[in-house]
Amino acid sequence: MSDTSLSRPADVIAAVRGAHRDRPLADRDAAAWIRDLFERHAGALTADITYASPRRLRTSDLRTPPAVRDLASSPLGRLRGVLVATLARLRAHGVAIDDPFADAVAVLSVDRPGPLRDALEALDDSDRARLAADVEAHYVTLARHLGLVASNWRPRTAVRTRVRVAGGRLELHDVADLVIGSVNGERAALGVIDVTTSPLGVDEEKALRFHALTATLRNEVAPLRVCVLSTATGEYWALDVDRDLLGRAVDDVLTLVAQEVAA
Amino acid sequence: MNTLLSAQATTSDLRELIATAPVGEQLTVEHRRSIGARFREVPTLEHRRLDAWLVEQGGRHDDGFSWSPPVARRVLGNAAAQRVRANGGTIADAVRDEIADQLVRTASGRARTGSLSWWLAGCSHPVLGVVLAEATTWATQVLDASPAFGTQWRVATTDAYYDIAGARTSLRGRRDVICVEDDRTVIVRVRAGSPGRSAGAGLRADLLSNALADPEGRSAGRFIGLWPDANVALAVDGTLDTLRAGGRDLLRAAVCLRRVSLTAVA
Repeated sequence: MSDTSLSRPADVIAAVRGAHRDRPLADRDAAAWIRDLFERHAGALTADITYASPRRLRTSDLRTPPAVRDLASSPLGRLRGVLVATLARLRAHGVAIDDPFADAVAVLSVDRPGPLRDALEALDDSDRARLAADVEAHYVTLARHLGLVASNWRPRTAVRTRVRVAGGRLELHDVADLVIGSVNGERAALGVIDVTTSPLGVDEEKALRFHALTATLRNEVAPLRVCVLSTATGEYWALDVDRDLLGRAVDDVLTLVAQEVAA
Repeated sequence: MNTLLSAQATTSDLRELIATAPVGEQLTVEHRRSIGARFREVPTLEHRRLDAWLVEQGGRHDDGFSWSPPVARRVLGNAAAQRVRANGGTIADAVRDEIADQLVRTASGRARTGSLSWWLAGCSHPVLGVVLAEATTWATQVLDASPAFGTQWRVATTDAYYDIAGARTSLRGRRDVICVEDDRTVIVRVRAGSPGRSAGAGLRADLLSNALADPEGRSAGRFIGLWPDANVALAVDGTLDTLRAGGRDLLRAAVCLRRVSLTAVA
């Protein structure tokens, strides 16, 4: 895991932003390079896939199968993840949070009806109290480690990406919790931050690379850094984005597609 | 021939799409009469509003409209983008000012029931926070694309509306950014997600509706749909063929609506 400096930055935002003088020139050819990699290596793997029905790939597809995972895949775990992500979103935009659980639930309640809202409404008092305590503990960790986002850093949240590669036969879907920085500057400045309620492991590393890959294809410029913060432990990983990391991200996707073809 | 142009949503590609736009056609009184006559041939018991969304959905529409943070983001985000362009400052502050203006409108009794102001006034603090987040993200992506818009561009303050006399029909033409290049106009519409199979039909419908709403019947030289999530831009030119195709698509949507209403009654 690459560290961005000898002394660890105080928070995630500081780790992603780094020092302005240390930023490399923006890599505006990375997206074309990635597309070329997919064209050259995905041809045989995607021969049976059509443009009209592409294979859709998400971050969750890169994770270890649910049977091997811990209870983060349980409904309570998923609810916790969604509620904490909502709090991260509010915090990133400088919105004051008075009661973390109640505020996050209020936001979820205006969403369209769906399985998550149903799951929330189906909780009994005991589970609801447990979830509330859990969410509040995760929020304390988030508030302590995320850092403050200045509004002139152009924060945007829940940024969706849906890009096609390999002649349109693969469609990469992603949602970035928080993106900061400009895409138009001379130097790399884009930062992508993911917030997870799970402890960090191999899956989160793959997810980080996937975020870097999709952000590059979406914005036609490679991000400066990608970062993941675990609100379970307070640990965060920040990776510099370079061709090596992007190449590994392409490998992750191709490996997954190859496994599916072989299965 | 109506051609659908395709490009990446990069600054350079978008700039080229805008800079190479042709001069749009001008609809005459005869054109308007002909369009009106066609829509009057499709009866309706209630007033119908046709737009690109309905065209893309094949004339099938949802049960009803309701405000939500994703629905509110376009109105607030576009207004905030225009504020930043006019007055400078940060996007987040511009969005906050827009939300504040909307709330003042309700507090002073000037908001209609069901309007955005009315809905915002009923939102809890955290929901307002998500509205802020959605609108800020929207405004940022509009301004991120702005280097491609040239020097003379503005954010559209409203969509274009055209009422077809005697047909109980209104057309709505969405538009987010209006660029002016010499004597040509290019309209850009920003969309979420990725373009579907009917995206071209939607663009043609928007192109026609915007042309009809212009008092002199002038069409944009090019109408561009921008999908930042997918890094894709699609465009149609303001030719008579494309305008006619847009009219056929809207008419088809009206016929589908009529069939649905007849089926519901049966």
